[in-house]
Amino acid sequence: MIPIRVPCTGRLNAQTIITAFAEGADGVAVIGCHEQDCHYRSGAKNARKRMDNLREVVEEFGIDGHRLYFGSVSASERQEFATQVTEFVNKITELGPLGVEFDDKKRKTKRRKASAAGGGSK
Amino acid sequence: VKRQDVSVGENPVVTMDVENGTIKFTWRTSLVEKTLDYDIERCVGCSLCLPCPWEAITLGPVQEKASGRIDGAPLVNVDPSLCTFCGLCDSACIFHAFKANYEGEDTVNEFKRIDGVHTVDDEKCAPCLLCMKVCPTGALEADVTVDHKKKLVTYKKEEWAKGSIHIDEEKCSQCGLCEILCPEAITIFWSDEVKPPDFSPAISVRVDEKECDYCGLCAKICPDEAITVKCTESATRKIVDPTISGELQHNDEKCVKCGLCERVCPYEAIVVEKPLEGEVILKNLTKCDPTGCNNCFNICAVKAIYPTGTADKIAVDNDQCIYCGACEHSCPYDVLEVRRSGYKLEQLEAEREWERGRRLFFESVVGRDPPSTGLYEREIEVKIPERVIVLARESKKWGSEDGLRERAMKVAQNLKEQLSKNPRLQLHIERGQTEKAIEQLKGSSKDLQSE
Repeated sequence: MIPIRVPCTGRLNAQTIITAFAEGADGVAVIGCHEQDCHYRSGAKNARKRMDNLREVVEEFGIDGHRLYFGSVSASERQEFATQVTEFVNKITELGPLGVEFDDKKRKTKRRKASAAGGGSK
Repeated sequence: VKRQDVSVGENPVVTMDVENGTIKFTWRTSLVEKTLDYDIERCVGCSLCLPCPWEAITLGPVQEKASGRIDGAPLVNVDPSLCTFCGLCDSACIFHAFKANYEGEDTVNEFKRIDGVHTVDDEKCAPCLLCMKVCPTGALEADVTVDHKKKLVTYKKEEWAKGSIHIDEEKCSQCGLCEILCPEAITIFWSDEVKPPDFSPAISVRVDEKECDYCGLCAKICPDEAITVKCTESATRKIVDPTISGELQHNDEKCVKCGLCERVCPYEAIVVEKPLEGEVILKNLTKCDPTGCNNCFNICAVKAIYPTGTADKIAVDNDQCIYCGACEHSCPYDVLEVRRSGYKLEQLEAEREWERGRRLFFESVVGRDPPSTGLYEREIEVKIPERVIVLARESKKWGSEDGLRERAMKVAQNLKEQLSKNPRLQLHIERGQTEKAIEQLKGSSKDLQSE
């Protein structure tokens, strides 16, 4: 798991997130501030929309949508952060290593390698 | 509005109204108001605003307007839900059809805009009516007063004279001064419309010799020395030289800087620099039908295109053309192509660091492809911790025995490449137009899918 710090989740564009997959990551979790707490008013909102749209695009190219995770955790909620990341890692473990699937066949090889990008002040 | 009254994440109210031929778009929150006014009459349907970075502007019924089937329709459509009211369209519009406002102040005022220069040298200007008569947009207004001839020539007793008067119409530039001086004897037949290739404002000049007393004043004020007067004998009279007074008023908003006034001015008092450089290319001339279709003649705001009546069918006056591109979109047979090669910027205030993005927009206006990366590039020194580099190197070794991960990585790498090549794709993803993005991505990565 590689934590990557970014100033704001709104800063991550589609290209940046795809880069993680291009480098071989099994999944990308973008975790940032709550939408209503956004210092820049719409940064977190934009990020969520962008992730939802990007998920649609990558699913079309055979990458499972669950490999893209967007979560909101405020700086004081340590336990929440841990829970979300654990859940995400478990999900990725279940999905197995990165692969392209154009049918519904789910591969269940077990591998542990997930990349998580933590945003905000964490 | 007090700052604490504003709720976080407030949604702007976007409205659209039509008022006196102007479409008014407004974007309003409790703190900021931005407006964009679009003047339907001024817009000629050129393509200068189409490189809108948000794809909010699309071309309207230009062909229909040019052929006269539709009148009064807006020639470009602005989607207020996509528009960010940045005012780039305003800064590119040489016809001043757009007007962007930010909190009541002109948005473009602080930045640069594509515009030409039109200067009148008042000392050289006589003035005469010539530039006013030829101006295709009515931006010039000359208020000329010349002393009436009857007040200048005073007879002691009888009124008679003998002589001859002749006007050389080849020399005459039809400025109209002689007609103001002596409307009794000289009549100019003004034409209704100034037409290329000669752009002469009048058809002919006539002298009524019955009224003429050969005082010779018209020859004195003629700037082209086109009038010759010979007075053989006359009654005792006193002739005072005429004075010309007046002022030429130039409306910069209406002016499109075509430079026609500079060409016709007999005193070289006007200097014009065009906003755009380029050339018009005539191709597919076999398809052109200048008798049945008049689209390009009608749409051209400066009347630079005219039928030749010969085998060439149509011709473009490149000195007159302002390379706006309206004719290209009005032509149903793709005969015309406007290639722009340069632009002139009017710098209104000092350039800021982040204004380089604006220049990229101007580059795409003149048809040069904006660079795919480095849109807001600048040099920033960042210290990268050693640890991160090591991890990145390791990441490249990730792989699997069955090669499935490599295949997925290839797909993702391809997606990344497409996204960096085409900024529009990111825009589609940003806006939620995922279908559009998927379609474009699939179109360009077909080879990889079939592997």
